[in-house]
This record gives sequence, structure tokens and C-alpha cells, in this order.
Amino acid sequence: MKILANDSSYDQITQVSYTYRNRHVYPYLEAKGFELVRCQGQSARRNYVEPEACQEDIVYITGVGHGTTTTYMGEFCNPIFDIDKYKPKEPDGKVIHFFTCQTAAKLGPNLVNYGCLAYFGYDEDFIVLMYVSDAFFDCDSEIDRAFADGLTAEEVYKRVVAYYNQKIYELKEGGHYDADAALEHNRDHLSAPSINPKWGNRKAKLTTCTGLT
Amino acid sequence: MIFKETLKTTKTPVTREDHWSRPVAMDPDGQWLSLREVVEEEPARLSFIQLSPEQQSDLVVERIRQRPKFDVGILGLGILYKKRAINEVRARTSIGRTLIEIEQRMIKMLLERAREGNL
Repeated sequence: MKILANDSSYDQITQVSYTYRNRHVYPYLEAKGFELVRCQGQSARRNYVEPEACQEDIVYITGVGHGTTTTYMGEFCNPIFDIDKYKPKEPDGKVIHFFTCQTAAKLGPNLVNYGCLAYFGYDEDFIVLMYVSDAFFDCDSEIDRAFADGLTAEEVYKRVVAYYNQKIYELKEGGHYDADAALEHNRDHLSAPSINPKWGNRKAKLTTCTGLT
Repeated sequence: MIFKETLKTTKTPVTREDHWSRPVAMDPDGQWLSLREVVEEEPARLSFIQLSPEQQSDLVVERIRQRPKFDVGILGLGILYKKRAINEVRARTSIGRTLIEIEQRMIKMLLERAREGNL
């Protein structure tokens, strides 16, 4: 089973997130038996991602980058996934998680219409308080870890929200009220099949064949 | 991963006194009221949700202005520092409205914690 990781790293916010994911997320996915196909840094561009995303043995697409309601962007805002401007084969039969602002608003449902099994992302801006940035990255990457653990989209959502709540509690107890409020905002804009079927199938999970049980 | 102890020892850029001294409401004459004034004196006031959108923006601008440091990352923009943040809030752009929403959540939480004697 392969996972396509496409992460940009060209400015401060994407750089710190990219570093976090390389240290704490991808080793976990590899330890769970997934083979990683990396389109990172200068390879986080449409021309590199497209052929990889078309491969049938890719079951999961994930990454960090800047985003708008319609577009997931790679290095220097290169549009990797833009509404209706990709091959249907790319999302078909795959679970997709983009750690980015706003893409759940329009791009996520568009990918589901083209066969994406489940889409996880955010329908508003994702805010990071930089002095505790790892807490924010940690919450979002629980999505990747939970899918790698074999959970369904519905179970992933429950686990991720519980994880957010735990971190929110810890930030509050640590006196980081600004970070706490920002993390609450992010949690409440997490978009997934459990919220609305326009983001896919609650029962979707990563499997060795088609990706859907 | 981040663990509880790490979060407890991470130094917050906003001190406890900053929370008490920054405005959370407006008095009937249009003057800002700090968290301390609201909790200790329970004055007549317009709370956040009673303010007009423009007054809400002004309140958030003042809260950001009084922060010792402001650096917020947004996956769609980059890092936002104090001056830009204030201008986004004043213009009530999409990012500005997000910052207003977060400050509203924070004011609600601070009032609850302060009234519980837990701030």
C-alpha cells in the first residue's frame, strides 16, 4: 500500500509544518507498513504529483500547503489540485487529507464527486499560534495516524476530535488561552464525512485493494 | 508529539496580567472595560455580542494592539504579524473575521475562568 505525501516548504509556516510531518507523521505511517511516495519541497508541484496520484496502488493522499476554497497549492502556490482541473483517476478510490486552509469548502466535495472515498480538511482558515505550533500540527496529523491505524473515516473523526479536545484542555491548563481559542476554531472547522456526506463515505478506510471496505 | 509537560513549560507571550488588563467589553459611554473591571465591578456594559460589527472590530484591534507579541500562522497566507493583523481586522476581511471569531472565543473563556477564580 502506498501513500502519496505532497508537502510544500517554501515559507515559514509550511517549512515548520513540513519539518514536523517528516519527523512525527511519515515515520509512523512507514512503521505501519505503508510505502511513502514523496513529492515534497520543490517536487510539490502539479507536474510531479499528477503521475503519482494516478497510480492505482496509492490509497491515501496527504500533505501540507497553502489553500483556497477551490485549490490545494504546492511549492510557491503551484496549483496541485484545482477544481475540475485534474484527472478523475487521481482522487478515484482514494482517501485524501489536505492540511491547508479552506479547501474543504469546494475542492473537497469536488474530489468526492470524482470518486475520492473520504476527504478531510478545513472549510475556513487554519490558524497556528507559532509559539506552540507543534500542538496544532499534532492535532491535524492525528488524522494521518488514525487512518494508518486502519480506522474508518467515522472513527478517525471521533478520534481526532477527542485528540483536539485533549490538547485544548492541556493548553488551557497551561495558561495558553489564545492558543486554546485558536485550536477550538480549527477543531470546529474540521470537515469530514461524519459532518456531511459531501465529504465522502463514513465507512471509508484504507485497505490493501480498493481502499473501501 | 507534544506532551502535557511541554505545553506547561512553554512560555506564553501573553502574561496573566495581560489577560486581566486587556479590554473585553464597552461601557455605555463608549470606553473599553478590562477583564478586571468587568469581573470585579460588574459595571453596566455592552458585552461582545451586543457590540456592532464595527465596535467588535475596534475591540479586537485594541486587544491585538495591547499584546506584547503577535505572530499567527495561517495556511493560506503565511505568518501574520501585529500590524497586518490589525489592518485585516479593521477591514473585516476573511482573515480579519477569523481573528475576530478567535478573540470572541477567548473573551468568553477568560470571563468564565476569571469568574471561577481559575485564571
